[in-house]
Amino acid sequence: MSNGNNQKNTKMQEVQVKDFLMEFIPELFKNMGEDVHVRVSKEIDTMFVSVELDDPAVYIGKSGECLASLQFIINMILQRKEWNAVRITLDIGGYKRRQIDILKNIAQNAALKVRRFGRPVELQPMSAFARRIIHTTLKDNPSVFTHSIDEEPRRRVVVDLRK
Amino acid sequence: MFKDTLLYIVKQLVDNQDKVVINELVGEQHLTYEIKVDPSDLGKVIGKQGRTINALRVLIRAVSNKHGKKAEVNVIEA
Repeated sequence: MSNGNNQKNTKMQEVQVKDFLMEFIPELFKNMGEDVHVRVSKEIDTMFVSVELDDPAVYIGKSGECLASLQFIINMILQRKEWNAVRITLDIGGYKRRQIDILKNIAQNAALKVRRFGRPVELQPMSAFARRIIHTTLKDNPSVFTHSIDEEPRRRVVVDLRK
Repeated sequence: MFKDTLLYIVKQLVDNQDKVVINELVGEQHLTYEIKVDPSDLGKVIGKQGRTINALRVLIRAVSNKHGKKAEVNVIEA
């Protein structure tokens, strides 16, 4: 019963958050002299917010640093408003979509390597977001499993043969 | 230049919105921003291990850089 209420609550928050973002993000960028187009779509454990504008590079930044900052700020604001059930993943100019594709490729290649050589493969240190993409990409793979080792900022995924 | 941007974001982060004051110093190559908030809101603008203020710095530096300027963003108690 309380679970049903939680679900209803989450659903309500999602609607409120979407309305807020559709107003807040264009206004924020307008303040910085940019005209943007925003799209919000619900994904399994996040709300994916994609922003399109003429010159996305500025707001993506080196290795996506500025994009990460913007995402952090927006999630902070959502928490302040007590919309704790909702987290957003921010994308600008399709940067994150491309990153996700690259990471999925890395995951599949590592799985192939593990199967071919029968040895675990250790990936480069990655952000929590990137590691999660690797884990989810391979979670239903029948021949390998994944886990993370070491601590931030050196935390990285190991792909190993399923016993 | 980005005073309104900062004001717009910071107001979303704090409880005492009417206490938020932002001073802007526009130099030829430098922009300096001083964010003043109510003492009870300091932590909300700074964030755990300074993550919120650092995120604001990254954003403001990025947009300032687009206009060929370096930017500095600081928080002080009102």
